[in-house]
Amino acid sequence: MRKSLIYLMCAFALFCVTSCHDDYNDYMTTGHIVLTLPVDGEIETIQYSVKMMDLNSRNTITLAGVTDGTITVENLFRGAYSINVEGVVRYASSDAITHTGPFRAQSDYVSMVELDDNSISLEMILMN
Amino acid sequence: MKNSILILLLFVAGCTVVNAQDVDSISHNLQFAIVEHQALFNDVHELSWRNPAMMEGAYRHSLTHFYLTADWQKKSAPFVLQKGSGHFVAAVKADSYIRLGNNTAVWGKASYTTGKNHDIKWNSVADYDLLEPDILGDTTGGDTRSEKYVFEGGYSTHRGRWHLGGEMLFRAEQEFRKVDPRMRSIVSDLTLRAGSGYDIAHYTLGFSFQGNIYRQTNSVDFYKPLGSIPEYQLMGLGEVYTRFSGDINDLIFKGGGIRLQLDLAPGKASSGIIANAWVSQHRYERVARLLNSLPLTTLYNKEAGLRAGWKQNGWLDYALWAEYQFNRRSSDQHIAGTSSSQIYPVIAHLTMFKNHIINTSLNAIIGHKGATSWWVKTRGGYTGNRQSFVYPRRTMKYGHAFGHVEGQVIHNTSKNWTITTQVEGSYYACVNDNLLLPLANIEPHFIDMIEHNYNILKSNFTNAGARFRADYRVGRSRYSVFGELQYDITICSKHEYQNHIVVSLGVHI
Repeated sequence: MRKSLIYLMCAFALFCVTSCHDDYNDYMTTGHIVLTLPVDGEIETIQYSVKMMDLNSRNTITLAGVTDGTITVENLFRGAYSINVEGVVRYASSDAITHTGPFRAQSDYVSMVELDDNSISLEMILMN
Repeated sequence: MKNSILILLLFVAGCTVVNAQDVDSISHNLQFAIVEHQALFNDVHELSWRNPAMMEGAYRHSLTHFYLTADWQKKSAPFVLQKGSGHFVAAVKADSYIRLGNNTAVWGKASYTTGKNHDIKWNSVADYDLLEPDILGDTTGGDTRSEKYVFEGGYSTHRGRWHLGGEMLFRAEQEFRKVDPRMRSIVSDLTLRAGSGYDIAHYTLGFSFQGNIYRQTNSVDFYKPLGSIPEYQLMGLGEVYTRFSGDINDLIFKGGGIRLQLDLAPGKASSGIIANAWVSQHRYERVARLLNSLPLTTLYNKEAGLRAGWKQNGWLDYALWAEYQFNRRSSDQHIAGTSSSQIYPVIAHLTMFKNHIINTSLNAIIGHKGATSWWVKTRGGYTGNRQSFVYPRRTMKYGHAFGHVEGQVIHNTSKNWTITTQVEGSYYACVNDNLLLPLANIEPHFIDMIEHNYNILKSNFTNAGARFRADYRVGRSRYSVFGELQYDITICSKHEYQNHIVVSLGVHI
C-alpha cells in the first residue's frame, strides 16, 4: 500500500511539473531596415519616414529620422509586417557627382519574429 | 435524433426498472432515499464523488427519477453581452443511482434539452464559458436555438480494501440561429474517468484520472449578401485578429485535457478529515478551416485546487472546510506569415491574453437527519478575476467578497408525503476593480462592449432564492411523483436584475 501511495504522489507531482505549458513572453525585438541604392554609388545621408503595419493586427507604427543607410526600429512587436519608406536621399554616384532626390522603398511582407535582430534589405526607388 | 433520444430514455428507464426490481428490496423506504439523495449535506462529499471509485459509498439507497423540467431566465439587460439576456429551455431527463448488492453501484443519466437563448451579441460560438476569449463574434447577434443531448454512466465497486470505479460522460450539442448572422455550432464532448481508492482505518484514500476530448465545428452564414457584417476573431478584451476577421467564418475548436484528483474522506457514516487536491490542464485550439486549417489561437486552461476540513457525524451532522481554487487561462496567438496558395505558415507564437481567477472560501454546514431533516450552510470568501491583453496593453480586474447562507428542511409529513423547502441568500460586494484600455486604438463599439460587461461585473450582487418540492408516494407502491418549483432573483447595484424560475415534474422509482 505504501508503494501505491508513493506512486500516486509521484504521478500527481509529475503531472504538476510537466503540465506547465510555457508562455511565449518574448514580445519585442529589434528590426533593421537596410536601404540600398539601385545604382552604383555611396549613400551620404537619408531623411526618411517609415511606416510599418503589423499584418495580423493592422497596428501601424511610424518613425522619422536621418540615417546613412540603416534604419533601426527598437522595441518592435514581433510579427509579420508590411513596410513603406519615403524620404530624400543624398548620394555620390560612381562618377563622384552628388545627387539629391526623393525615394520610396516598400515591401508587402517582412518577417520580424527573430528574438534578437531582424534585418531586411530594401532597394530604394529613386523618384527623379 | 429526437426520436432516438426518446427511445434511449425509455430504454434506460426499462433497464433501470428491471435492475431495480432485481436488486433492490421492494420494501426499501423510498422516503429515506429521497431524503438521502436531496440532502444539502451531500455538498460535503460532491467533490470526492468526482472520483467514480467513491460513488459506491455515496448513497445507501437506490433512486431513479424521470422528469420534465422547464427553465426560464430573464435579465433586464445582459450581464455579459456574450451570454445574452436569458433563456427558456425545456428538458426531459432520466437520472438513476442503483445499488447492486452491498459492494457495487451503477449510475447513469440521460437528457435531452432544447430551448432558446436571447439577445446574444459578440458571440457566434457555443460553450462561451469554456472558450472565451478565443471566440468568433459580431455586433448584431440575436437569439439562438439550442439542442443538447447528455449521456452519463458509471460503475463503482468495493473489493476488500480497494475501491474501483469508472465513468463516461458524453455531451452532444448544437446551437444555431435561423436569421442572419446564421451561426451554427456543433459540439461533441467526451469525458472518461477512472478512479481507485484504498481503505486505511476508517478513511478512504482516493485517486482519479479524467481525460477529455472536445470538438466544436462552427460556421456563420449570411443569406442576405448585402446585409453581411464582419465576424471578428476575438482574442480578449476587445482585441481582434484583424487579418483573419471579416469572412473567415468557418472554424473548428478542438482540444481536451486531463485532470488528476487525490481524495481523503472518512466513510459516509464516520467522522474525520476531508481533503481533496486536484490539478487539471485543458487546451483548445481555434483552427480556420478556410485557410487550410491554419491554427489561429490556442487557449490553455490550468486549474489547481485544495480543500481541507473536518466532518462530524452524530445526532448533529456538521462539517467545516476551507477551499482554494486557482485558475489560470492564457491564450497563444499563432503569428501567420505570408501565404502560398492559401497555405499560411506559422512563424511565431505569442502569449497575448492572460487571465487569473481565484476562488477562496470558508464553508460550514450543520444539520440533522430524521423524520424532519434540516441543514444550514454558510459560505464566505473572496473571488477575483484579473485579465490582461499584452499589446496594446489592456487590463481588467474585479474582485468580490461574498457571503452565502442556505437552509433546507425535508419533512416527511406522512407515509406518503415528503416536503422539501430550501431558501438561500447571498451578497457579493465588489472590493477592487480596474479597467485600462488604449482608447485611441479601439473602435467605439468595442469599447461599448467591454465597458458594458465591466460595469455589470464590478457591481455588487444580491441574490435570493427559494425552492419548494413535494414528493407523493402513490399508495403503497414503490413509485412516487414529485413537483418542484424554484425561483431566484439576482439584483446588481447597476439597477439591473435577473429572474430565474425552474419548474419540474417527474416520477421516482
